[in-house]
Amino acid sequence: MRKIVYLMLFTMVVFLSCKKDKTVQIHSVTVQLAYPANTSFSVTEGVTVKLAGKGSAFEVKTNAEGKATFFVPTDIYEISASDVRSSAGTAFIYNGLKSNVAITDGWNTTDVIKLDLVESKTSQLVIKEVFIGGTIKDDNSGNFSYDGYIVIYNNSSYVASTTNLCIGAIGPQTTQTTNNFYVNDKLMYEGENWIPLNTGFWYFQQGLTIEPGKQVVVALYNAVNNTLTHSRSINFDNKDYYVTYDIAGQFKNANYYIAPAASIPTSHYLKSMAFGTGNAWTPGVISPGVFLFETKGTTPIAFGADATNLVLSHKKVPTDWVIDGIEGFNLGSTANKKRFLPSIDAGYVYHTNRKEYSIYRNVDEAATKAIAGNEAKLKYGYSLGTVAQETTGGTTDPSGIDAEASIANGARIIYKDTNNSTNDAHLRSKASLRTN
Amino acid sequence: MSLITVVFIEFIQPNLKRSMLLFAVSLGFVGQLAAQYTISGKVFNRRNQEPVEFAIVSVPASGLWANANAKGEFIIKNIPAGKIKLTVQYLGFVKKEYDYVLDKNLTGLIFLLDEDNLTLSQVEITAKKGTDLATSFVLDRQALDHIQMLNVTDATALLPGGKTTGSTNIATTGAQRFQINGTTNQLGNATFGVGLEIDGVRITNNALRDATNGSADNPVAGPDTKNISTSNIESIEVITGIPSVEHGDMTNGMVRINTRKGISPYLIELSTQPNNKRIALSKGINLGRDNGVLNFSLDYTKSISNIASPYTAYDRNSVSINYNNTFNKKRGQPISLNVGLTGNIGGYNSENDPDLFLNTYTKVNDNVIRANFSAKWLINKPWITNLEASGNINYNDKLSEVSTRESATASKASVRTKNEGYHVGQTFETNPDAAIVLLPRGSWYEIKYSDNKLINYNARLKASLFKKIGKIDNNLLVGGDFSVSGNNGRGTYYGDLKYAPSWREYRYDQESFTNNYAAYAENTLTIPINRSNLQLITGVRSELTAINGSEYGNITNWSPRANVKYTFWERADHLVSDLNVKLGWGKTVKLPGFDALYSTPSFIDILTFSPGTTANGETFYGYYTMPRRRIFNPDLKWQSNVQREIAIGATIAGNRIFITAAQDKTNNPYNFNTVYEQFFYKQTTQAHLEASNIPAANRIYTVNPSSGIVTVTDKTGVVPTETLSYNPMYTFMTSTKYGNGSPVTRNRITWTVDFKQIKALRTTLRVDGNYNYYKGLEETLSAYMPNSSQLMANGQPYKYIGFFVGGARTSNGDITKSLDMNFTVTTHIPTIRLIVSARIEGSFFKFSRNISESAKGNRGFVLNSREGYEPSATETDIYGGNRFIGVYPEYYISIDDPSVKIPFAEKFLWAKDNDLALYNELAKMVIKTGQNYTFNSNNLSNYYSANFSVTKEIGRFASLSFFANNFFNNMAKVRSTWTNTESSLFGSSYIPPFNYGATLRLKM
Repeated sequence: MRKIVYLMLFTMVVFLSCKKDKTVQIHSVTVQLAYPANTSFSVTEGVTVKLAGKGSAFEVKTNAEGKATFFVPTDIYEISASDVRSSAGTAFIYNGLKSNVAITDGWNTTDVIKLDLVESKTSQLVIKEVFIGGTIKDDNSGNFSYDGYIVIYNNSSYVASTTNLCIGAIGPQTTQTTNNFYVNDKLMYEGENWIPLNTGFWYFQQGLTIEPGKQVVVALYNAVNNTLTHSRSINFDNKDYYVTYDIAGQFKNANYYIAPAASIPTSHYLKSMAFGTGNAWTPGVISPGVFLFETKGTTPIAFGADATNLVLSHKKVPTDWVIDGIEGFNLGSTANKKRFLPSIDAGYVYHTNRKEYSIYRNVDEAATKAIAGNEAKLKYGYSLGTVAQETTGGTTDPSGIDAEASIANGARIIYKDTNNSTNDAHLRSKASLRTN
Repeated sequence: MSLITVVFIEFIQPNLKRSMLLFAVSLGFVGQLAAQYTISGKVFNRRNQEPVEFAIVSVPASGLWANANAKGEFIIKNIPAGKIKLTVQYLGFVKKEYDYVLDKNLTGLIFLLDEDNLTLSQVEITAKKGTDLATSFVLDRQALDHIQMLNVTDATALLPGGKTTGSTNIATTGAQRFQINGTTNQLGNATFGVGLEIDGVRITNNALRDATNGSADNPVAGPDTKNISTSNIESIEVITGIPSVEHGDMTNGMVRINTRKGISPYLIELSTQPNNKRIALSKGINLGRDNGVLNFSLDYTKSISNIASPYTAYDRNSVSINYNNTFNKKRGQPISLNVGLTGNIGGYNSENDPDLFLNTYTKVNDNVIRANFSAKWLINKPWITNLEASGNINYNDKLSEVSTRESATASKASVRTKNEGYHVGQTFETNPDAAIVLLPRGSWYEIKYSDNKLINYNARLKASLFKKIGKIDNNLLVGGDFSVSGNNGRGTYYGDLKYAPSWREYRYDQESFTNNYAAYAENTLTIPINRSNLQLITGVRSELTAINGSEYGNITNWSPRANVKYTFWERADHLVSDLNVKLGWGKTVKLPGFDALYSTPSFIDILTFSPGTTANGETFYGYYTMPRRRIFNPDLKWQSNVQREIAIGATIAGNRIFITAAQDKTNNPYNFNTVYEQFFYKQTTQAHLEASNIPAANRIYTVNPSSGIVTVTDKTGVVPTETLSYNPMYTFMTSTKYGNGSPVTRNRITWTVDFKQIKALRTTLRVDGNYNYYKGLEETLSAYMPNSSQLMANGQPYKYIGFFVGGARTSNGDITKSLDMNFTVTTHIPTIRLIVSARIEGSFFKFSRNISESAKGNRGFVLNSREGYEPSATETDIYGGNRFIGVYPEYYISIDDPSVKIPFAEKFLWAKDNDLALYNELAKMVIKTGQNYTFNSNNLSNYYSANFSVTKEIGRFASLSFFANNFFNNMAKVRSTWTNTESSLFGSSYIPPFNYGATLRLKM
């Protein structure tokens, strides 16, 4: 017995003696932006580069050589940069993202980290809002999860017409769990011009036309007036709304898919194509990853039925089919991993469910104010961000414009679209379709 | 006797048939010639020289026995002359064995029994090898006290190579089951095959229902043991070898729990662990004047799931009373009577958990009544030695009650009809007995009950006849069992039918009980050969299972078993003081559960009509309902196991060694299969309603139950009735069928080495371990549809069914090999009544690999690419490492003509070049690995965990035990070659979590 006590004491002494004070090491880190070879644009001064570590984040603007130099403590960093240029009336977006960059005690300050930028263009149609986290039931018995929706918005000055518009979710469903698409810390489809579609997708039965500044609401589940039962929920009893409802298809879990409101015409029912085994479609409740795409050269049905475009049980969607995508990261996790390629969404916006939050697009203040007669209709003082509620990961619209109030006031809103949801979207405390 | 012996001798040694036959038959004629003597004497407590009343003195080989009277006196008459072994034992004392060569009456013997405590020179705190011929391990009270069990299954950690449980509490709705020969994650229903008895009362799961209804418990698994009190157990015997034919309805080992019986002082136990508290009180009361002994025991155990929120708990409140006495002692034909009654009230309850929403909870009763009696009469006549009758009953109330808060924002369909056809919903107020009840929008509590009340009782009668011929002992045992199993539960039901979801009443109490009749005979032959000794046990058990109300009717099975042991010598003065070899062969049979025997009704409900929801949240659903029943399988066979075993025991220079090697082959393990049938129906959608002229608010929907045609009537009568058009649809209906899977093989070697005590340190070392090999490969053909609601490219439902060898999964089995070894160092200092043990549980080899094989060879194939569907032209070894693997069905059928079996591989490869649409559809049936490591070998690096235990007696009246499991809180990492990654042992299932506790025992 005494020997065991001695053994324990000895072990404690050994452990305690190993403890030593550590001083914080600061490293000089230089990032060099690299624009694609086939573009006429080159490095320039003033582009913001971000280094986001586990414990701190830094922003530095590039010099004329396209370099940004940081002085940062030891950490694992995510390096990102976003630049928008225009030429002959067309906007070109350059995004770059490099994850898991270890700046440690052995860091060589003369090393330069090259950040490759990927070119993309702005879209006519954007995902204005994703609401999937549910609302709190009136009796506080939990979360009502069947009132999700997304809003598709025509962010351009022209009428948007689509023929094979589809709504999909990127795989895997969550960003914080194992992602088998990562091979050696790199997405296997990086450089292959496709992204993985999870489980199945929805497509509009017929062509969809949206006027400039107008939107389409797509109810994802219970497309009825949910507020009759849960007052904080959403009323989808609206003839203009669309709904993902297809009882002849695979997604027909009775909890998620109840008969839509009679006011919604059946032509507004989206059809489903499934290739997984689930009986309900979800864009990812905790860390949604939603995107719009339009099949080219094939129909959604034929695309869905094609068995040759599956990898790891996900369907490969060519990146040039993708119209817009939003990456949601799990607010409660430090293990999030990117799913979208930088050409679709180079950033992310934190999200968490069960708090009534939605992901909402930021207002492009300059573009919005540039529309003649618009400025006077804009309502400022936006207060529905989540910076106050979520000290880590909470976000708000930096423009300060209350988009919904401004639209109600007759304003025309142009939303930010730099294909980088870190800049383009925020976590909104109250879904825009909620009325109370 | 002789008949069975002859049968076995024929079996093992045909060349000796004639001589042994003559020898065996001769026993019956000369048996009565042996001289007989009497042994008498007294039994005293060595400490105080007081008589040990009720002490049992016996001659086990002959089945003769006696109980000491109040003066400690005993007498055993008519003991055949020759060498005998006499045992003397009683509760609270160390069992003593004496060897005599009986050639005259032995009278006036004085036996002094030692109290069983830590002042003894030798105390065992590990599993001892059992003394019966069947390989078994016995854990006695000292060992059980030392490990401080929370649940009786914790005791298996002390078996050779056993591992400490990872559970720190039992506050769960899941079951705690014994795993003896096989584990839960293996094929062959390993825990279902474990036989469990408490004082002869069989604890069985056979009558539990809900196999396919998503129950948290699983009827094809062993019984839950949480309701068994751990405080009143005298010993646990775990039989891993071939058991006596007395034991039936088991294929994977036997566990026998014996409770305390006999005079004892008040014993109070106070036990605490972070998640568990236990208080127990027991006493054995001498009723005096030959009135026998009354034992009682009380046990209160509370186990919580979360120490930060100690509200969700499992409670065990156990009471047991046992009476035993011996009558007719003076006439030399004593009758020992034992009557016991045990009750437990408790179970799982989360009702008080403030973290749950108000009035939502889960409660699971685990109430038990067990009653048992046994009477053993030593008749001791030339034609019978002992007659023993026993009976017992076990009743287990497992009613669960789950309250959830539900809500719906529009009408919700609750399908209740049991009739086939189309039905449309009605509100509960309109028709409470409607085929489909429309639950109104709103919020409500749903209280669901699942009621299983398991009853099993049995009666047993057995007789033994001992004969001695010269030096040969022969003991014949014949007996019969009659056992009944049933379920008096109501099945699933709801507190308020207005809010019940889709449900049909199916009462378990309306099903028949099963009757099982068993008869057995077993002969034990002991032949001394010079200094050697041959023991031969042969037996056969026959069972007739009568299942009223089931298509299976009456089914008979046979279980022959045999053990033979040759003891070369037993001489204390030799370096190898004893050496013996044992061979065993035997078949055991496990009866099926009720879910297999009775065709549980099930229903398939297809949504065929769903008009839009009104502004008020109302709608009217229509469903087609198809009743389904479990398909009777006339070819169903009872699951059985054949074990072959060899064991060697020896004591070398005081070091005890026991090694056993066994092979178990489980044949016809029970399993489920899905059977598909084509089905056509009509579906009416909102689109068919859009042309309706009747305003939505005025519509009354009706559906023709047989044709499925929906009509809409205007409740105002203004608009004429309309008949809606529909979409013709098809699908496959599924039914389940109980069947038999492929054989499962388990090989194992176990060893125990108890080194001689190092006297200077008063320390002993024990090394025990096991090597296990398991191969489970499912090769039965089963049907599979990728997804019954999946659409094809043409928008129609999927119409193909594939038939796979071993199911639609990439691997149809696995191989595991493991070598676990434990080192237990025990320091026992009798003078200060202290015993300290440290036990290192080590895993020295752990290998597993998924396999995909069939009788034709490899079943899976290496894919030509990650995204591909065809076999690689260059790679053929699926076990080559880091490869994506695919599996084809053997053949497939189409709904167009299900009778045509189309070879899959051939058609699929043809379709690639000739019919791309078909190729795309068939590709959905190709099963592929999601990762390239699925078929990699998984070698896990070695890992260890250390347990520490102390027991200190404080005088004769108190003792204190302390344990710390994984007391170094090992956070080392293990490497897996499967994914070539490391993972921490902390929080893993490999080693137990750090846990500790203490128990104070007071004797008064």
